[in-house]
Amino acid sequence: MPASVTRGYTFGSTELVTHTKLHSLVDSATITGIDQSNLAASIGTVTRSASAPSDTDALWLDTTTMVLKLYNGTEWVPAGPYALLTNKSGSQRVAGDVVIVDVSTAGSFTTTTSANNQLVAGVVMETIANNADGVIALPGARVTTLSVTATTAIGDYLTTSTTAAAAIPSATPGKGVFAIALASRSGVGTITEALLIRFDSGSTAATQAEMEAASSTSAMVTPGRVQYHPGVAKAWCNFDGSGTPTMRTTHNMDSSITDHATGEYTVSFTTDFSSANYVLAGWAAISGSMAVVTATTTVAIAAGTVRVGATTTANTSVDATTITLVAFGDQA
Amino acid sequence: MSKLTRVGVWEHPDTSVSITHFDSRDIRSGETEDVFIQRHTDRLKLDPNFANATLSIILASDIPVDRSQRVDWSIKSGKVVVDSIKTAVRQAAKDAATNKKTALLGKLKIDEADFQTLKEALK
Repeated sequence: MPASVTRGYTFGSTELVTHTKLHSLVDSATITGIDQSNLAASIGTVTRSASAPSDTDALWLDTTTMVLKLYNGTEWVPAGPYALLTNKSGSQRVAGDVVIVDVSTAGSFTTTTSANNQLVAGVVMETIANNADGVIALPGARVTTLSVTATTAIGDYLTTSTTAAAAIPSATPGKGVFAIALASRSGVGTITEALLIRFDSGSTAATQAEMEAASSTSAMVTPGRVQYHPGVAKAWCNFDGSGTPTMRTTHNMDSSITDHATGEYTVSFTTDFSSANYVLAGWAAISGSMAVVTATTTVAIAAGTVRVGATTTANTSVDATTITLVAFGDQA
Repeated sequence: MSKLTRVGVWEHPDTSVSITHFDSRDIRSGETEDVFIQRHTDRLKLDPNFANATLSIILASDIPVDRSQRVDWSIKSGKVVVDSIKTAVRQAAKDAATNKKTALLGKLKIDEADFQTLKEALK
């Protein structure tokens, strides 16, 4: 049905035409009764339907997946964070399946039973037969169906699991995370809301063993494990050995000090070394003079404690006002 | 003040005495003072320096304020005191050494200054 145009000014049959009347004719005109068919053929509209519209100039909101699609001259393809990929998994896939890039076939996806797989393509948005094309939600998309293998909480990080097409939740981020759960569920099944993200590039936090080996050039150092690197001091302290020995500041050392005799003390580590084969360095001072940190007459070093002495440069034991110690080695 | 009112006193087989000054900063969350003292002294017992030493937990006020004679400290009736016997024995040993040295210098017919010169030359 055509639209109706109502003129803004009506001339009489002998009426003089002026620029004012012409302006009024245009400026006051109204158009009514515009419907979709009036526009579809020329500028395109948005068609909301479960099936593709015949007008290939239109945008199509597929009400089955709620994905906006456009016609690329050959087929309807998703707009936004979605892709049309071919199912090469060997069987039909359904909405909510987690799929990875099929590296053996261009433009296709498959499934995996490898946990923390880093080739996640996205989440299937509709039923897709094997070898058929279908819509896959990509990072940035919100999905309303996603298969999980275990009880999931809102905010859990999701990675691929050893179950094909299903994700496993975790409260902590890590390798292969591709989505964050926005809905919870108890047990195996599907969650009703998740946000797909591009979170993990494959770098993982170095383990204690990797830190101690000091050879990896890809694992990331984290604050909680940096102390395991052999080049890092495991403990240090600064204490006053005069009067009642008093710890000023420490890292991984106790503040309690045992006073054996003039210039002889035992200090202890909060976390022990793995053996007594660690390295100790120190520096000491007394008011207005230099002192030296030494092993004491009773040379003894244990994994969790060490006895140290302070002497003058003339090798006389002295209660130094400042004694500092630094320890390197392998921790338990 | 972060020091506890109690200290650990270790009596070693050679009669020497060590004092552990406990610091409240080492007490873990939820840990009582007694549990902390037990934990800390248990770790010290693993150190060869404390092997066969006898531990007593006493008040810090029961150790002498003057630490200059620590070498002569002993535990008497639950308190740390300067042990006059230790002092006497140590002084006697010191006197004996001095006498021996003086006698030796006399035999060599040199004085202390000559001895020090000789000592330096022999280094």
